[in-house]
Amino acid sequence: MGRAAVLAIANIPVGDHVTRKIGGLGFNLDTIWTTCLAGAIVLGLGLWMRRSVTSGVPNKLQLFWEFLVGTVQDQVEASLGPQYRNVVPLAVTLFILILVANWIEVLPGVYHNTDFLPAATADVNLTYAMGILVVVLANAAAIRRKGLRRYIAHYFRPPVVMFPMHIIEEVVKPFTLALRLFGNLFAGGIMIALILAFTTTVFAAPVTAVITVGWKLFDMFIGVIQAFIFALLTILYYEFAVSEEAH
Amino acid sequence: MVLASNFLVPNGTFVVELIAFLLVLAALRRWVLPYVSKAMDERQAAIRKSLEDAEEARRRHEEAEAEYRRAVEEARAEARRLVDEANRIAEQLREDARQRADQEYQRIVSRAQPDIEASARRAAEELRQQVGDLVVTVVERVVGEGLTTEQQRGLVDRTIAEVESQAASSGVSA
Repeated sequence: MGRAAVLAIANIPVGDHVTRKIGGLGFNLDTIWTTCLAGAIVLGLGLWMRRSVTSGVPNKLQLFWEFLVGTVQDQVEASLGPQYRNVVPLAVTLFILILVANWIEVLPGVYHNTDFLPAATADVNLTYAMGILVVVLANAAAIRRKGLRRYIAHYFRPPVVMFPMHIIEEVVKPFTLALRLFGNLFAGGIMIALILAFTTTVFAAPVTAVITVGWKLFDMFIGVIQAFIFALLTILYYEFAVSEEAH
Repeated sequence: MVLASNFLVPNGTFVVELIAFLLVLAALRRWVLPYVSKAMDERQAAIRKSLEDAEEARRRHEEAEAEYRRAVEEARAEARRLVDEANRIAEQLREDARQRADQEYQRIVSRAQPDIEASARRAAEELRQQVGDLVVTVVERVVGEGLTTEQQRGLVDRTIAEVESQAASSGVSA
């Protein structure tokens, strides 16, 4: 490995954001900007579809939305039953927003997190927000279903010594959910930076381009998988929370 | 604040992200997803309706076919009955005609019987007269003289009796 490559790798910024302090709190402007962009794209796709929505022969965009909603609906009804159809919008939004946020990173940038358009999901702020929201909503649904007394009682299911485990399980859920998504996307971005650092010092530009494009295609695939996993786990956490059996 | 500088620790962005997500969720839930669900439900309803219509049409078709078969069967039975009836009437007419013809024949024959007998009698009488005359003529020629009336009669009667007996023995009747 040449000296230049070592230097290039040493210069890869990890976890850097364009941050502004407002009232003592830091705000990652790049993440906020890409989240807004992802949100705008999702809403744009939705409203564009709504313009020509039909119960006859749907166009491709409507077909995509119908496929998405239909798949989530089937999953929710299979796991939770039809009375939990209000989970469908949450899971659909999670999937489509995460997917678009993940794919935004495909647009070329220089280095991860200083990209023109970094993935908002490569910032823990968004993934924590979604993870905590999901677990809070799932537990709220559980309380609504069982009543507060039975909800609390389920933490003390025999054997009672398992109580700390139940607590840890609930506390860990949002973090595993959030960090799984974050880790994959964050690592994807770093991989791009690494590939660029290695290949630009060893190969000619076209080779670099081919390898980078190959990785980015793979990254897009990862983006779909992660969005799917997040949405699916949301439904499963709901299922665990509202089910009567021990889990 | 050591923790605040770590990229695994959330900062003020967390709140913005949470609000942004909830806004997107609310917007999709209000302005997009109901339309998708509505379109899907309507299409499903339309498909279900067309399936039901198809089922109804199939049922009607089967009913119509059964009705048609029944009608054809009835028509065939009626046709068979009519043909049988016609055959029976024809047979009866034939029988009537035959009986009438038979009666007519009998009537004609019975009406003709006296005429025939009278003719036969007349013919026999004439024959007898002619034979008599012939015998008298032949005897007069042979004997060379006239016979008395009594002689003539006796001779004629004898000759006729012989002729008749010969005719009877050879199967010819007068």
